[in-house]
Amino acid sequence: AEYGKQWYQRRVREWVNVSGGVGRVGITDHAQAALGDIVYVDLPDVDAEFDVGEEVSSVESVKAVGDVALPVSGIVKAVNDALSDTPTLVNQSAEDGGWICEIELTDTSELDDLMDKAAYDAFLESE
Amino acid sequence: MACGVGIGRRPHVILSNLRCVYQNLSLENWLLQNWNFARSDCLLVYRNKPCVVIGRFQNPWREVNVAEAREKGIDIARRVSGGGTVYHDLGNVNFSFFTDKPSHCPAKNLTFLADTLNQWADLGLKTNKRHDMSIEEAKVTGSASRIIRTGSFHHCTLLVTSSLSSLSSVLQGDPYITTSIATASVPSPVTNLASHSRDVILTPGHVISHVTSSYLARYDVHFPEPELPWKPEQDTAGDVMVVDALPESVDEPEHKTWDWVFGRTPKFTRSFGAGMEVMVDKGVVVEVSDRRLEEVIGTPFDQTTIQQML
Repeated sequence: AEYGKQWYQRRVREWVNVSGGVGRVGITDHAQAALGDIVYVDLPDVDAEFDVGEEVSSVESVKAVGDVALPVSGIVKAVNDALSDTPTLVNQSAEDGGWICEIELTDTSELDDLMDKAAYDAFLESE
Repeated sequence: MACGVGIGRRPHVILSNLRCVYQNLSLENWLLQNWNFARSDCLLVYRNKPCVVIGRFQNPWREVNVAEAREKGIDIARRVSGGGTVYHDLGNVNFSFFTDKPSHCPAKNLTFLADTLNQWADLGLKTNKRHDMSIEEAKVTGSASRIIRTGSFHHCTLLVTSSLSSLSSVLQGDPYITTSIATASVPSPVTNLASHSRDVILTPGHVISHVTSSYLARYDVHFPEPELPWKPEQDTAGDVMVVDALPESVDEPEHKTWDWVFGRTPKFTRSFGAGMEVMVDKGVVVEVSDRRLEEVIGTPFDQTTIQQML
């Protein structure tokens, strides 16, 4: 796939990679490490619409069931079916092959509230 | 992640007198969504009449003999936390430790339980990295957690005087479920606390009493009035509140619905022999391999009905 610009939320859990009006969403490597081995990813329905911050997916790891929230508002257009058979793909490749869903952004101005990769890396350094 | 008891935080204990698993799970989930985690921690304690509780992403048909559970009036419930299938009865006690996210620490909770119980009844309880508590090689607890944006709980079930053998046939799931992405249960040997106590008579009531006192004693900040997300019916004093009825905001236990218990089941395939199978998604038959079964497409999965058609 063509990779566009990658954006990160200030709370360092989710990212969205935007190309045209479509964004691919997943959790950060930082988040997957905190979760531990992932055993199940609950994928959203295609065409479901969510607001920024709303829970789009639940993830079960050996430690807990946690939520994945959308970093920007959007309508689900595709889900990563590979996660059904191989949920550990999120651990192995959280920011690439372990993406969770693709959304059509409903408000691209929300990207202004996110960090880009440079800012995110600096943010992680400072933690 | 801090693993100590928060400074300036105060505790609450909520004792549920409800005995219905759907009501208790609804109360627990509702507290997770509505508790003021910034101000205080909470320990919820509940017991259920006989029931089976499956993990958030499990398959009830694979874990339980659904027809037999129905016949025997044993409720099947799905919790919001993960992990495997457990049996509850009045001989086991459920402790749910509510904290904000930074303070979420199942290991600390289990150490607390082990220390409290060992000091009281000399049980030789040990904890491990998988958040189990055991006596020798047999488990006395099962743990799971749920973390949301605003807070978390770690809950565990503690076997005190539970009927360990009585439901073995109900826990025999459907062996013809061939493909399933649901999370599986890992069976392990279990034991009751009561069988290991030499001098002290252990009952669920005594255990609850000791654990809750010990929990409150860990905190040095207490207020005379609890701050609850709902207005209690009767006057409450101190940090312990007894719940005899669900708060009004929790109308009908969502945990009781078919949609939640069965409709949240991950995709699976069930074989009916001779190459015949049905694919089930969200508890509903979505695909069949044989024209004779076409009329069940779109209906809730029922193994008996389908068997009769063949």
